[in-house]
Amino acid sequence: MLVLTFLLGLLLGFGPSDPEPPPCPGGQALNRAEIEAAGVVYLSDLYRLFDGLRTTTVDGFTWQATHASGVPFEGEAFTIVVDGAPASLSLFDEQDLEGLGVPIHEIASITFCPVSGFVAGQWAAGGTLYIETISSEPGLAARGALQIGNETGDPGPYRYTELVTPNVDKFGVDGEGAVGYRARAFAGRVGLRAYRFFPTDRAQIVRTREATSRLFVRQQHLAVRFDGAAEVLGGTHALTATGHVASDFRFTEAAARELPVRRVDGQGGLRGSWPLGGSRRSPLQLQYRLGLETQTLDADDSALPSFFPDWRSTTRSASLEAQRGPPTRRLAVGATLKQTTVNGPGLPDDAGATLLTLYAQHRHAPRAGEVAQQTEIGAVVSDRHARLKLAQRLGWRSGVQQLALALVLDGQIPEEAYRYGYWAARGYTGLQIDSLPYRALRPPQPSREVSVRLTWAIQPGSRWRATTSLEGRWLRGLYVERPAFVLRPGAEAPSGFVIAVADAGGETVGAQVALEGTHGIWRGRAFYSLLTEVGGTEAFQEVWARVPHYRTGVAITLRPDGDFSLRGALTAESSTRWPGYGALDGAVALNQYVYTDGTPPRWLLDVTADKAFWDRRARLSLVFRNLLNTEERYHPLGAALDLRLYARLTVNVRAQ
Amino acid sequence: MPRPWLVLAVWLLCAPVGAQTDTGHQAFDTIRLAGGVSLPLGDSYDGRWAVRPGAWAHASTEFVRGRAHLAVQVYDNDNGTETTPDFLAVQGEVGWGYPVHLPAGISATGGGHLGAIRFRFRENEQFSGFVQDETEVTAGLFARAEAPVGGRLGGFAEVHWIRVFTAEPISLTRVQVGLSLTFDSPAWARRFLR
Repeated sequence: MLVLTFLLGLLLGFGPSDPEPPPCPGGQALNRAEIEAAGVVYLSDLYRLFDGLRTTTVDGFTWQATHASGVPFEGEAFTIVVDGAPASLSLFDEQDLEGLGVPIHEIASITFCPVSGFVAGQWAAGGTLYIETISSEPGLAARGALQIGNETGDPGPYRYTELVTPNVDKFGVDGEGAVGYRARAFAGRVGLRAYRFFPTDRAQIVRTREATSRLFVRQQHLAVRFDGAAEVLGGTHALTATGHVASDFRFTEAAARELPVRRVDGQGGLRGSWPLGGSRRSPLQLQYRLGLETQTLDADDSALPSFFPDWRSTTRSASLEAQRGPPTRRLAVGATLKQTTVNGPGLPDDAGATLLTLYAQHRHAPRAGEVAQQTEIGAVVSDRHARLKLAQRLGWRSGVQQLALALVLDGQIPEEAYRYGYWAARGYTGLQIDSLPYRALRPPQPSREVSVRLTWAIQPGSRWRATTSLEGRWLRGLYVERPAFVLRPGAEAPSGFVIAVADAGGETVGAQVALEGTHGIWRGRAFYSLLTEVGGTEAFQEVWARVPHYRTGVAITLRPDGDFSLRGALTAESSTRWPGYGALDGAVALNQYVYTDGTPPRWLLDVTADKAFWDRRARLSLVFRNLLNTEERYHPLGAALDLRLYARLTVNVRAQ
Repeated sequence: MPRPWLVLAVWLLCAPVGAQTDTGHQAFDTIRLAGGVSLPLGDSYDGRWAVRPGAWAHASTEFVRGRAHLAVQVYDNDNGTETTPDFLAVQGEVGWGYPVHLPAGISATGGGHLGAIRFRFRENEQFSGFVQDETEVTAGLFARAEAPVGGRLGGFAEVHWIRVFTAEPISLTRVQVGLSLTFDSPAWARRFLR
């Protein structure tokens, strides 16, 4: 059936131009006004704005997102692409958006497409999060933002009475900035983000305080990004360089605790295109990409015995893609070679792998009323494994209705997205704690995923729009870690063991309904999202019990003009169970905090007031998270996030 | 006694029915400065501190079919024992209210506010070297009546309720009375605010 659909896709579509992006059933896009109105103070706040995403966090600062692909909350949930350049944020099983050096005020739009496919020369398993930054007008422009936040729950004057409670640390002061310059044939921009965070919630302070030799328990992040583009040698070429330095308390499930680490990441990429001729109606061009990534992870003032991560990783990549035809009807054929070398305790000298990706992509984006399609076929090959990938997207628009369908057959090999288990199976011991052995019954093996997603949307006029999506996935050969934790008397952190299995599998289904509309100065959006497993191995069901099955919400924005907005968003999420944490339920930590084996249902009200001043050169945002002050917790060992207030001031200046 | 938020909800629902609102002005056309004294209503700390009279000041202007304000109030809190320090409370807020214009130039406004409060503890021998400051988020409601006194001067009375989101929540209710001065916004201020 899939192959037939694929062949149908190759045959479909010849017509005049009226380009549209490729169909993406289940996708959701946010523009700059929506991001500003929502009061985004951390990049990971963006996850809250996507209906279908589920999130988890231990400290309230580092967030993991998931939807329906792969293993929830482990590994890369999706590929992140900033202005056409992939951003590598993953280290072991963590994908921390805060490592991105893109200041929030530089974001023009963000789009999540949950459909797997070839993006920027590589297979984007689990879909793609596209971030587009603002395009400066000619001249010099500088923007900057400062923010500070406060979580409620301080003792106040009761600090000097028997009602005393621990102090709650503030957020920030945090800062962001960007300086950009654009001339006729050149544009460049440097962006910077500097954040700090105190992982001192009662749920984790015993673990974090005992893990460090420092007086203060504090995380600090500095991320820098350079983007430059020039038209030279008859083509367009872009250079991207990013750096991220973090002094972090990284929660690692394989250790059942926060580990004090210093992480230094660097990434550079050069990409561009050259016209190679062809006719005016069917031009031929060549795209190239060169990339270099380095990662280091070391212990950072650790007080933990025998903790030496000493991780070094270097990845080099080169990609070529030949494109024939206009954007509306284009055939692309490409190849990417990626080589990774690593060093770490326990690893053999030749640890690493080389990955070859070959692919062909045919896209047809006709006018309304015709079927748009994007057909992709490719293969990934390493020195150990090889697998095939097929993806077919179809889209049809007629009058007020839109229909989109995506079918994906994805054979994945472990070398595509290195997870902690891959390196642990090869001998890496850098994240292992003596009290918590990690046992891999088998190293990760190739896995299979078949997914189908269908969306129907109706927009009868400019006032409102309704969207319905259905999806189903069939997954086999997943590598799943199964923890079994206990808290021994007098211990500051859980102990136990983690067993990893390499043959987990099952099926998931999802459904989403969204209704959005405008009326005068009011804008509203309501949604419901269902995401659950419907069968599978025990390990698969256990890991899916961590995912809130439903998420629903309503957001109302009052925007009397372009200078002021007031937005309230009420979101509800269902409770979760974490089976490997069952023995922790009711366990009492050294500071009398009582652990649980899951998370409660969440009812969250976020309110943001955003006002521009001084001919929009300045903008002040007041953001209230969890205004109802309900129990907001995302992990059995995680912080309970009380009502938080953030104030954020953004200033931008420009010179011709 | 009905809950404050319920009173405000009834106010916002009923206010537009029988009264004329501030439709004659654009946003930031005028600025009103006000100040005066505030008096505590009831007990706020389970009898642990006595809340003293204080002072308040605020500035308001037309904004989104109502009036927005920035305000600050200061008052002392005495414990009267050696075991617990006294403290000064300084509360700042931003708020918005919906005004209704009544006969004789009187206006009544109901609305809400969000802000922060800072507790500044008085050092004594027993607490020397301890934490001197605490800051916490506040939210609350107000009901305000204003009447012209003469020219640009007006009289001002307000019942002001605050919820402090400390671990042991604190509710503070105060009555504020004072004088106000209303004037056209300077052009530079209008330009900045818009």
